[in-house]
Amino acid sequence: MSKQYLTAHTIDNAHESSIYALGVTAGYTLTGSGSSAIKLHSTEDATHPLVHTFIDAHKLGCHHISVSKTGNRAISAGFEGSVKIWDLENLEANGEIPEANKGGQVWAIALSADGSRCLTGSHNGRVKIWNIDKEPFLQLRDYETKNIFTLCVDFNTDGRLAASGHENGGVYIFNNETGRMLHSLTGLMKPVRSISFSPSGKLLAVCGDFQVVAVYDVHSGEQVFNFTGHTSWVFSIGWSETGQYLVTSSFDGKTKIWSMDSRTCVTTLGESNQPIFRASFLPKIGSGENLVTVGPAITYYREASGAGTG
Amino acid sequence: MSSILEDQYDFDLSKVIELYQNQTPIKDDDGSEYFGWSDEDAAAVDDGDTNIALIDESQFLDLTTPIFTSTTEADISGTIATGINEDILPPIQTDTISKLPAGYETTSVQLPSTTQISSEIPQSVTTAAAETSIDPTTDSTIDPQIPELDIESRLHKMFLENREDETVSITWGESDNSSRPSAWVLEKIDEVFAAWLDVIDSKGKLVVKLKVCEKMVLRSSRNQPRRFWRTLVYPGPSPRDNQRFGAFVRVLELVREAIKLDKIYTKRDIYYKDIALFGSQQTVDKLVDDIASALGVPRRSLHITAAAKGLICGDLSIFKTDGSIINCNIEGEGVLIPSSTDIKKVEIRDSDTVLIIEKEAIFRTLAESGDWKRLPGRPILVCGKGYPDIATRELAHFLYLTKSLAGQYLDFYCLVDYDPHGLDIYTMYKNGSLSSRSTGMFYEQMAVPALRHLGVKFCDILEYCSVDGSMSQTIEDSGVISTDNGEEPRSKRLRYTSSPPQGLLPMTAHDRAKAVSMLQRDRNTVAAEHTDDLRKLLFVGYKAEIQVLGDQLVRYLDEKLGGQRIGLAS
Repeated sequence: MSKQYLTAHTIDNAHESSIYALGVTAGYTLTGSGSSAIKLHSTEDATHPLVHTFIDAHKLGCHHISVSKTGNRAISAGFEGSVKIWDLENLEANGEIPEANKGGQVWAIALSADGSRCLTGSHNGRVKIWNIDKEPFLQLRDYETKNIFTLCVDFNTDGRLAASGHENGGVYIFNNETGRMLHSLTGLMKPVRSISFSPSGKLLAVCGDFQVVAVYDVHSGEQVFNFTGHTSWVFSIGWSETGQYLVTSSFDGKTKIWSMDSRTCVTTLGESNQPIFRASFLPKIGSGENLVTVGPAITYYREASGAGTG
Repeated sequence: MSSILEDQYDFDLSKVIELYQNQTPIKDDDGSEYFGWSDEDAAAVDDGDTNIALIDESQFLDLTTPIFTSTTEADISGTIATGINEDILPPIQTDTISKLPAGYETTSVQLPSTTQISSEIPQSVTTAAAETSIDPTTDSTIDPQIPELDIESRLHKMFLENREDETVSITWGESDNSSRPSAWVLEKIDEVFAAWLDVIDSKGKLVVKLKVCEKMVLRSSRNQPRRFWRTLVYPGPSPRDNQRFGAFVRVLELVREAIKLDKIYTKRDIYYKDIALFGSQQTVDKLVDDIASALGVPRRSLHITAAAKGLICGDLSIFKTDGSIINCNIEGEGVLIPSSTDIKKVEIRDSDTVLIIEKEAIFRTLAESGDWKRLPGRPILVCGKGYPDIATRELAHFLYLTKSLAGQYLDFYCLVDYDPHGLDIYTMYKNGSLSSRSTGMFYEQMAVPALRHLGVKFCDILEYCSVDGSMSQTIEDSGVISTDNGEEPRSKRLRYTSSPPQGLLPMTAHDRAKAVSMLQRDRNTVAAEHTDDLRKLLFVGYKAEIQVLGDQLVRYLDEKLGGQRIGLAS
């Protein structure tokens, strides 16, 4: 059963250059680009006006943003290598991880659901956990992998597990309580660009240049199934709030929504062939699963389901 | 390379220093002491050399050729006559003078025995006579063609035993003398040669310290060039040191010659003057750059230009100052770009576009097939073979200021690899070179501000090289179940084997560092075009060479140039 989507709103000139980073809370849509500023557009307002700008966040541009599920905090990573923390309640900077780059420049970042822990993955494959509850921000864990570029990291909902994806296709799941590697998932031979625990924490979805969306059972480490259909590098992956749907976006400009029930692609979006670097479901309001994508522009999509109000 | 040599030198020297620690303090940098030496010494030097020449003339003739040609010998004699003690030794016969460089070479090796007998210079005459048998070996160390190992080791031993006294005869660490004329360079070189004559007859080694820049051209990522001291020692602990020193002297001489005769030599010319001595073109390039950098002058002040490297092909003629005309519309190949000082004017006939190409292979493909004639605008092809040399950039600038016969200024496009270096080359053509600015050389006259980046661009990868639909079908069932991992599924394990499209390569750590440093460098640049590409390179993690276009090259250029012409900039 397919879903119908309409383009609800497009912000073309949000940034002067391509948009790489996206973080969505109930209140704000945070975007980071080649420019030094991080912009906050309203998520719930239908016209999505610009509500705030973090000026000079990252001098060389920002490539990743992660927000907490509670929506109170965000972190961002810049091309120059710094990791900054933002307070979304007071809309102010909350410091930065001082020695984030010690022992390898940070590339991938993730924030725990409550915003108290930060996960970083670096160029040399080191995966670290930081306590960013209060300063000084201390390093809690330091996982060493095979010295391969870390492209993506993620926490599960309760923060007990962490996962990382690497340039050589390596995927690792760590148990943060014991500090040990739980699983090393092999078989993906190409860069893993995005990795995400399901809301229930039972599944781990992985995507990348192998063009397949692979879903693993976190407990056993087995690949449960995979989605095929993308014909280019897949850049981002995200779960809907209920865990029923997955959204992926790819280099050739396509955004796809996959149903976990029917295990099929229910929608393919994308008119241009400009890369879509990130796609994310919006916090659920009503029955429809709305989403936002970034790449050349910020685009909001609204589900036009028959069951909904239309 | 030099650092390795230095290390060897230090290692050997340390032993020597132990032996001679208290006898001879090592002098550091008091160059003036040597420049201010008395006339008596100078007389003694010439005296000694005259005598050496009298002892045996013929044997020096072929020995000296690898280092000193007849023309330069004459120059050296001129130096001594004019620069040092004209009054004292006016009637020097030419043949005697011509042996002087040979004397310098030989005495420097003989000196061990000189020191044993006496340090007084007049007595070195007898020493020289005694030691002449060793002279051929001196050259064997300089000429790599004659490897005589036991002699070398003998010499080597001699050096260690007797040449403990390190004497700095040149210390060049000038900052910015770019405004100084070539005559000033000439003076500096003459000073050096004069100073050496003294050191040769003392107990010292010849030591040259040059303050040089790291990589003159390529270092565009840093704002401030890193400068360090490069040291040459003669006689050094290994034959290679001596050869290096010989090469250094030879380059200095040729610079003198070039300035005196008001000629311009290319680095290639210099290399061919003495292939055996230099060994490789790189040696010459490095030495010339080092000398220019140490004196703080642009290379042009040395009367040396880069070896012609750039290629041009197109519907134009270059009129040179010597009256000759280069027709660049030759079937099948490009023409080497001459130095800008040789170009009088350029006549552009039927072209209204210039296409600057990074890669020689692509240039040759287009030139040999004649495809360039069928491309929109009949582009003039310019190729700098990677980072462009000065002549290529100056010609591009020259074309930028020149109207075609139709009275139009030309459009400029650049086709470079999609990687940090390709984008750096693009900005180098467009803005002039940053590195040259930091060394005090102003090359704004090399910029082509109107240059546009034609490709290869980020979006082209998508369009022209299929990121391919076949990939997802190439999922292979490896069928192999590894038993060493309990977590492995018992049944099948999927292995996705597919390589990126041809020409796509993963970004290396070096590429990433280069891209970030370029972003740092250009963060205030208003034109964000190439910085956006740099970020995409970093984010996507793949770079592409022009070859990614493969067979599509001509179609690609046709569409891109055509699109540009009707205002559909991609």
